[in-house]
Amino acid sequence: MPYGVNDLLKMSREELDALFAQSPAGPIPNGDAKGTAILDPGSPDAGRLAEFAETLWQGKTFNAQNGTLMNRVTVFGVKAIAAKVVEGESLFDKKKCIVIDYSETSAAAKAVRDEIRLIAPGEYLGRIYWNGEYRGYFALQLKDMAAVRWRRRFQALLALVIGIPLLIAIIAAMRFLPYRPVNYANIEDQFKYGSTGGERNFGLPYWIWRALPVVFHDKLPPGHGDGWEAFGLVYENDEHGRKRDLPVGMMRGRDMGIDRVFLNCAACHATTVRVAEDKPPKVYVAMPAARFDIGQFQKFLSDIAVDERFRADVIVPEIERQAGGLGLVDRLIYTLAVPIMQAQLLTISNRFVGVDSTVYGPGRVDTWNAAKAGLHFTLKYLPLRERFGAADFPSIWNQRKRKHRVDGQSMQLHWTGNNDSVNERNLSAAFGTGATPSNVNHYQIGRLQEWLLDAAPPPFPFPIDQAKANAGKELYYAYCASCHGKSGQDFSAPDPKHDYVGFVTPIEVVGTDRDHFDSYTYDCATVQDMNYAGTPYRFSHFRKTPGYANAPLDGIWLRAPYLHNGSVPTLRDLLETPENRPKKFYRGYDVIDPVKVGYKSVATENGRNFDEFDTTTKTRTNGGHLWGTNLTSTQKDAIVEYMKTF
Amino acid sequence: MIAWTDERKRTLRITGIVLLLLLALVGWFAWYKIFRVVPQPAFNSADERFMYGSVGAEESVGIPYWILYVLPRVFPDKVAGNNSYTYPPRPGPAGFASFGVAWQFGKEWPVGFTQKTIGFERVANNCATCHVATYRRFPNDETVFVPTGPNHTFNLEGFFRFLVDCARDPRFNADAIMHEIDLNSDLSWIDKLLYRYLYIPATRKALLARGPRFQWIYFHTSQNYWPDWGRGRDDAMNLTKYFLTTSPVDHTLGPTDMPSIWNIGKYKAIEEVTGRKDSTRLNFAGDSYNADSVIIDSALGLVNAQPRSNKEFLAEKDWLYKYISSYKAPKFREVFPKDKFPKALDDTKIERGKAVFAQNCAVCHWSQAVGETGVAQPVPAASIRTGTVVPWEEVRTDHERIDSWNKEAAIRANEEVESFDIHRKGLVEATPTGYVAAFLDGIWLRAPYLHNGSVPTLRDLLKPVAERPRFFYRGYDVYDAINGGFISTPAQAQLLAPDWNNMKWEDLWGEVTAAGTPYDVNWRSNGNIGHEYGVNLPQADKDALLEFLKTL
Repeated sequence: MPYGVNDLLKMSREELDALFAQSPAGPIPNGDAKGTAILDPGSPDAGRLAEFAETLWQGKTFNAQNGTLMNRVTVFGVKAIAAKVVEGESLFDKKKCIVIDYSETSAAAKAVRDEIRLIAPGEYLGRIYWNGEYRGYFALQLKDMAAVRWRRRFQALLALVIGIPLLIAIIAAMRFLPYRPVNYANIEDQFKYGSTGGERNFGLPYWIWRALPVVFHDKLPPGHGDGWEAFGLVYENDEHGRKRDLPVGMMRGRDMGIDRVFLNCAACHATTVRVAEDKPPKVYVAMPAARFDIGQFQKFLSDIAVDERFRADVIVPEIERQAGGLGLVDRLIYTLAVPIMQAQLLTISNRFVGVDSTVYGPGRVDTWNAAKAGLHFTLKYLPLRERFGAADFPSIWNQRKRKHRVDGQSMQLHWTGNNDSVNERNLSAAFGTGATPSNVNHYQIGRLQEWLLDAAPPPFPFPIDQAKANAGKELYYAYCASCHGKSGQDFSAPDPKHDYVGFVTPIEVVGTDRDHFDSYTYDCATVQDMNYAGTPYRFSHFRKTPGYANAPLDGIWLRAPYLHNGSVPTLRDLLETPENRPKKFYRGYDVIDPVKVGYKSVATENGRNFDEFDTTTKTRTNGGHLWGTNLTSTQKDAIVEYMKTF
Repeated sequence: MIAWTDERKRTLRITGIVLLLLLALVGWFAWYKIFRVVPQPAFNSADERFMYGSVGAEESVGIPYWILYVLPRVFPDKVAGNNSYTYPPRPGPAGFASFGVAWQFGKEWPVGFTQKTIGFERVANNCATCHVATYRRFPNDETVFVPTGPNHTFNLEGFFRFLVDCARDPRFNADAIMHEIDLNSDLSWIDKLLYRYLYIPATRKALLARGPRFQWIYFHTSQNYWPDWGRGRDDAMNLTKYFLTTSPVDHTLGPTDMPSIWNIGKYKAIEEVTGRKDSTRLNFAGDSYNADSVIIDSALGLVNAQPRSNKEFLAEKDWLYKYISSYKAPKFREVFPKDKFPKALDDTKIERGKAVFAQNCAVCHWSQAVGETGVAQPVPAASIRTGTVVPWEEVRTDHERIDSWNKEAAIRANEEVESFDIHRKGLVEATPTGYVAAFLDGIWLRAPYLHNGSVPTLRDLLKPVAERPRFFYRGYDVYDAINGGFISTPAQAQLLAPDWNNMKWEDLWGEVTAAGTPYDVNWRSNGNIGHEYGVNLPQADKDALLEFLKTL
């Protein structure tokens, strides 16, 4: 009676022993025999064990004439491991059986000896010995295995061709596809370090970013110190008192299997201030980043992109030094990331050809030419008068109050008043962080937007002479308030009939430097209104206006230097006629002058140089805005005292 | 033989139904994504409808929204520049704005660019592309848009070439274009696939097919003195020859100013008032019989195919006719009120100017546009020629516009329109012999002057040919109220700049040359000869006449 393989797999060792004992040796088989390993007879796993064994060993092919066999191994049924096949005496019961002897033919299987006996027509039961000790049973069924073998081979090949790449793809997808921006529950942390989504577009690989100021130390602005601090970026300490690895205004997100970092809103709208030279610097958010020199930052990134050291074999070793070694995959990724990043830097820097970012200086940026570059304007072919647009970073607190002016409309925002939608202005600014319609994180931007509606500037940190301030208030009402509002809290003018807060004063009336005004054009406005097309956020509020907007002066003590181009160092200086305003001063220093209100003008401190601001050069002239300049010195002091309360 | 058991029959039936459903689904999908017509949202005003309403061109020549959106960003080097006299020509620096389109703040597309969903969003053009005028009264002024006025700033040829040039560039491929689309949009994956594999290759093919028909706008070289059209002009009859019909290239060239189309009822009205029969002609060389025909032919030029529905097409035409009949030219006096612009108009001279006009001009140019005060305005007997063709031998302005059209072309074009089953009186089946004596309503805003725009200001037109400017810039939109025209020459900039807060004239001139396209009267079809009427009047009479002309 033939035994099914399943029957044999269910039998215990005792039953198999009995079956083996009662079976005759049978003839030496010839041809293919399908093999089933019964390594742990009677165990519930015997079947599964047999299936697994089949992937390694499919059976045997006998040659009765020569008295030899070859095993069929692996899923492909490869012929391997030869043995001699002879009739002999079983180690089990000393009776006749057919012995399969590997000792002379196979170095690997030298210790193996199999004994088989015929249990049914075409079926053999085999015992396995290792160095003469029993190790298990196996069954052999004589049949032509060629068809099965080819089917198996095909299946195995298929599994290899599809399965392995699939596995690799899955692993790679898990490694490279997920996008994990770093965001914060605390809104100020979100502002300082949270992602806008823009790092997916502009993000520099974190470790490359770390290596750059070291590798290209000679390309940092000279005399400004080491590291990214040379550009006026500021670092805070973490909760353990250690310097954070990213400065204020730098966001991070894991994208394409790599941490990418780039500037976020706070880079241009937060920085440190000191109340005295010997006091510690304190970070204020939503104030203009008066120390950050984004023009030099831009120049640095452009310069290094064409430097011969921008190579993986220079940058990656520096990364390994700082990171204390890189894994194999990370090493490969960073090696590949270097040329990709270089190409991106070159693309961006090429867009800016025609505009010189070194004329910005700390605390200033050429917003609209950057916007034009983003819109693929060819800056180098624009008329020259459009190409100098640097102006100060603004403060961005108290946005809710800016949504209302005397005529019920929203105030005109930006220096030129070219947009009166707070939301649109924010999305427009977010382009600077790399956030485009396809990657922008509306939720996080929305959180910041909501917070900025009521975020308020900190009070003036020095004592204020109340009597003097009250005297100043009257003068301020008479000379300033119709354009700048009653105070830092109340943006309405004293007389609603003469309320110009949030309106635009024509350029010829205000008379201040017109370069920034000229840099914004009708062409730019109209093309900007295509941004965010196809979404509910599409821009529609950009306008070319005839001059500069009259801004509320909330937190004015943190908004030095003054005028849109930052050409007047202190409030007190602004009340002088242009010829009596400082011709040259230094920017980038963070100690407040409590008397004149503004930053102290200091050329150098502890070996760190600050940047000279020459008011006779392009974009930097300090003329115009003559209101109040004809008052007496005492009156001017009083006005400044009152403005300290803003 | 297969035995048709019940079970097999059932399997077959189910398979069939599933296949049919699948097919229907695929069909519905194709319809939804390629053919589904979504009407444009309603417009707030007739002006809006005129400026942004579809005339039905989206289906035949519309460009997929996102492709048109990103083209100037992918190909900033191909955007039309303003200076065809430099080699290599400089591209325009400002994307779409470089084409000099009239563009209202806050609008997604410039005036005349119509957006409509036919399966997917497509953008095409309507009449307003060329027939909305823009002006500013001083450099810091807000731009004013005048529907039905001539668009003197739009570089139509530059735009035509741009599309073909992009398609001819190897960068017009799905990778490059999708990269830019992905940056600016948030399309679904299915739309991305459609763009990548259907819309982009199909658009490229369609734009490439335009290439050979545009052959004649690529002839431009300095050797053959073949000018660009430049801002504010189009070669209308050649466009008709090569696009409505497929005539072989004949090396004629006849770019002319975009005309104003306001108050178009005047053509009908003058026939009624004068009792004149069938002698009124439209287009610069009198190529067309009536306003209806002109609107139909121009709109067909935009659609560039048989309209999907003649009924809808003709209904739109009727609406347009009504709209542009009721639209009147803006009044100079209202644009430049005396209190704010004291130098703009010298009222004391107007009466004298009126007399000079009656004496010297009225024979061809009826002084009061029909319709301004209704048709009751009596027509001076002398003005009987207004709206009729004046033989070239009389007017002797540049001849090339006449040469660009002929009887055979007119016959072919008429046949073509007939074949669409659209019936109109149509084009005059005769070779043109002269230029039409124009109505002068709103002439102040129709600068530059003569059919080819070869004379920048009204004052210049009253000078003998030898004294007219031979080189100037067209397309700057700040108006010179003193000379009657847009600022086009250094002399104008020098005259006006001091009035504008002591602006430096070089700065003003810099703006003119940055915005405008150069115009050289020596180049083919650009001649500023002819129409030497009134050029020998005493200076005082000329000055008075100029003031009167501004008031028309």
